[in-house]
Amino acid sequence: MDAYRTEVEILSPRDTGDRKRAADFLLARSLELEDDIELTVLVQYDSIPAASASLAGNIIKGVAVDPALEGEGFAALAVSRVLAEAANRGRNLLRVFTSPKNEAIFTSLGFRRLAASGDDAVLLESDPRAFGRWAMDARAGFDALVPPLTWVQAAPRQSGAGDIPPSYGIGSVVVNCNPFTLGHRSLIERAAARCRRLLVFVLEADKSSFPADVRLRLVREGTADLQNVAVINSGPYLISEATFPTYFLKEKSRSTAIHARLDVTLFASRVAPALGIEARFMGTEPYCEVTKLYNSLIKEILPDCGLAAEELPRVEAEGRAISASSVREALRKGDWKGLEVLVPKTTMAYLRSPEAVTVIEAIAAGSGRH
Amino acid sequence: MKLRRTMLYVPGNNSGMVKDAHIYRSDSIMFDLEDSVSLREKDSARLLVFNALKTLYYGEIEKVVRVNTLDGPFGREDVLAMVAAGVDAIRLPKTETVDDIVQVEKVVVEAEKRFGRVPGSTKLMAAIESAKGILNAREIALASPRLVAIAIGAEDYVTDLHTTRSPEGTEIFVARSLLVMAARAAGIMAIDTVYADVNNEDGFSREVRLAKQLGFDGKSVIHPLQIPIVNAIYTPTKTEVEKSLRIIAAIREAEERGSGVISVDGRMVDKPIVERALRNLELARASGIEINEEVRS
Amino acid sequence: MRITQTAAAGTLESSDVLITVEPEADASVHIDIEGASAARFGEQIRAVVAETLAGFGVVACRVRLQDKGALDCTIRARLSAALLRATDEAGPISWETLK
Repeated sequence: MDAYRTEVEILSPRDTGDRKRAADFLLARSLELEDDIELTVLVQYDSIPAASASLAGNIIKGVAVDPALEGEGFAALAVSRVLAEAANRGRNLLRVFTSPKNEAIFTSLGFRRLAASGDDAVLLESDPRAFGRWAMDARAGFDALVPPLTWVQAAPRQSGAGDIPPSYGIGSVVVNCNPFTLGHRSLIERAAARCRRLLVFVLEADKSSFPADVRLRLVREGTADLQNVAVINSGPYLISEATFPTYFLKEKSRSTAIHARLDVTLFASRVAPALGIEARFMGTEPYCEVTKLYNSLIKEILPDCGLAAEELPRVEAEGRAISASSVREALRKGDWKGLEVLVPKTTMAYLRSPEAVTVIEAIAAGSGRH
Repeated sequence: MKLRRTMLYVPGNNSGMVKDAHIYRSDSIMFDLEDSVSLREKDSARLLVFNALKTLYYGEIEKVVRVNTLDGPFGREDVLAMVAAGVDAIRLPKTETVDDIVQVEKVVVEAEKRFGRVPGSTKLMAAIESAKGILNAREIALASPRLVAIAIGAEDYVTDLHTTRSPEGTEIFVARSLLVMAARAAGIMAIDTVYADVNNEDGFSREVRLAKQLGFDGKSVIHPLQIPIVNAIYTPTKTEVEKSLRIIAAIREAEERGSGVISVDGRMVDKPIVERALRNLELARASGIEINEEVRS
Repeated sequence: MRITQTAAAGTLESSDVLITVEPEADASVHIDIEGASAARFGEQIRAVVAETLAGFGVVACRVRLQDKGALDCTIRARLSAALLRATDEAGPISWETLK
């Protein structure tokens, strides 16, 4: 690469001209400029666009190269500049979701793979030590909430469970809880009975009607009596679909499946071993297609990594499985009577509180699934 | 006599370019801390150029650094660092008045004292990039004994004029001429502006020829490939070399005769002609032409 | 000089080095070198890093270098920039004492 003929520009999507140039370059490679992009680095050679890379939060997206100019280091240069721009904004830990064919560019820039989704996508992170640091912190946090010897004191027994000893040292449940229902309670309670200690991850991404901090709090309040249960935020290594870019996927229709596989693979291959998790519990899913997909992937991928995947039947109320969406539906209709068999007292207390008014109004007004 | 046929522009934050710049054997290298460096990287670029100047060997090539203007947060520190590092010349961008030169010279004087450099060893260059600056060129060129060259920055200049650049350069013709006049009146050099289209060799050659014809001593270049083109155009012709040698011979002969009058081919030769002859031989030598005569400037 | 925040300088372009400096709780210096040259020039790079840190009086930090073939003077420059960005204590630089 002749540095004297190479020009690097930072394009801002807020400027119409810049936006068009960034979008045009991606369009020529059948890719899209996503809405959350904050800046695009465009590398030009002899005034001809050669490669681009974009930044959205701490995610690198929109990595593209003119095929005629591949192999010259232009993509690496673009990504390198994105890293510099991100560092200037105080973001030192970056991720990239990309197609496997681009992996080498990122590896040469110090990124390390976190997980792959078949042959469709890879997730890499810019600092190889970040995961280890997170795992150490998470483990320490878990031990502080539920010290390892807790099971000796108070492993809860469900009625009829008798003297069945815990099957697992550490088990896990991953939930959204939008909001926390009796269904969630039952799942967690049954899972906790099967483990010495249970780690409940509450998804952080704020695409749900109930804000993340409220959801976490309701789960904690609703399980406070379960001594061997620790409830924590999902953290950066359970991947929210909200942040998963699809620009590079050939078949956009498969993006949910690809994302789910990536998330479950990361859980099984890195998160679970690092935290000593032996099993993941989930409730059967009669309605939501995405959750059904997740469950089947969990059952497929976890055993390959030496982990148990346990699907427990959903609890019913009045003949129907209890779900968070049925709660939101009841709120939409103002059916407070119906709510009483769906949520525990702790959640009900919140729903009736002034704090919940705006959230419930939004649910009543909106028609979104979430 | 220092030749400044080519001044290679090197972005100051680019490590690869900074370390390799000497390979291309321009007469001067201008490490840029100004327009080619983003605001957030000013501190880093300054340190990079500082360390490079202190450590790396650039041979006979003149080391020039284009600092940021002194009315911003970066210029003063740039000057201090570069003088400490042993720069040959500080190039001040966007020079408009004599006071601009006076201000930068103050910092240079302070820096030379602080860092133990020979007083006066740091030269200055002024880039003029606005109408006001061009109109003040005559005074600017005389503003300091350290000032060795003035240059025109055409991009900003034409913007200031509310026009755009054309291949023929009609819009900067007067500015170019004024700049050369100011330089000559002050006895310093005039450097022409950059030519951005790296792939257009014909266009570039034409512009260099024009600049030479106007009297410019050299040109700023943004790509190494431009260097040999400029050098070739500034190489004296065989005829010019021979004539210059005859003039030098005539000087020697006049000295031996003890006469103050120098004549060549029956005609009197005065100081400007002699100086041109010396310049031509210097240019010829730099182009690799063998000059067997001893030339005394 | 105390390192109080994470900061970086340099790039991953050829002949350069990207240096990230982080605060370190214990009073020691940790140096991580990545890149093709780590194996061959690790010793030399560490020496340059140590010398530069000493020059700034930094006794506790973590330094991550992603090297793309940088010369010693580049490593010094980028590390100096990162250190100065990573501290709140940076007063005026004494250019005469900077190596």
